[in-house]
Amino acid sequence: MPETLAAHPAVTPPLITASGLSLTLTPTRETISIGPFAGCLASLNTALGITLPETFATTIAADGVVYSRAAHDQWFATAPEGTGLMSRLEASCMKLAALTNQTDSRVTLSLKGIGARAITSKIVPIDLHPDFFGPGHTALTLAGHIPIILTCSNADTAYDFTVFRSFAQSLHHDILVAMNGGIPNSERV
Amino acid sequence: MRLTCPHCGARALEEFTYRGDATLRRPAEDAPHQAWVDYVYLRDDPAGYHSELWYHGVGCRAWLVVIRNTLTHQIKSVSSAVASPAPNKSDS
Repeated sequence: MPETLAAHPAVTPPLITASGLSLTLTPTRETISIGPFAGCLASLNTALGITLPETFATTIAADGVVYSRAAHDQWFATAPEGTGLMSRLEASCMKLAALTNQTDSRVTLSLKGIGARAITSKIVPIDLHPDFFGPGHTALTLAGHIPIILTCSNADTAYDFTVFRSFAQSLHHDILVAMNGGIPNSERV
Repeated sequence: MRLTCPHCGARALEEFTYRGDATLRRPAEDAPHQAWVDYVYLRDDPAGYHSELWYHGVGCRAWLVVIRNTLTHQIKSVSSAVASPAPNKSDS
């Protein structure tokens, strides 16, 4: 298999802080798209030893692989780089699903800090209240004009934006502008 | 206007694209010429509830059937186009 190119980071700088929040380019994770063949979902769940989330959510398997629903009939499995996720999945479910390596297609920007929900709300048009969008939830939506996969890793204080690599610098700029603008109406809190 | 996607929940209009009348049905290959003209060119302009196709392109990329009041923009229902296709024009 050809080597993937990663000549330079997807965004610069990879870590930046503003208004007490941090915006970080998270370390690359091996990402495999799983598209179950017709009628194979139940067998696939058995082969993987987990139940792939039926709603837009994220599940962490016992071996540490993270499974997120990415679309209808499509899930992303991610694991730290160098852990051989593709070969492990090929061994267990090659005949049950189409597997595609998506490692270099997307990157994840992580926004952390007190007020992260307020900053995210400025550019994402969905309800981020923890009752509706808490840890483990995933949403396919927009950040400004850019399609993203948004996940909540900690209610109110940590959100991960997964975005196509070529849009990452633009998204990074948008989030940074939102961070520099501060938290709306925060003087009233 | 917001649409409640059956898969993603309530989302803003910018995530969706209008894809036309959901009640249209392709005529049989040997249908008369006029049936094909109707199918390709003629559209109803109802004042009231209308079955429409919407595509959730920015979200889950599902095709949806939305029953919308064209006078008030009230949304009567939103369902998956795959799970529950819109009724034929003659049924609605």
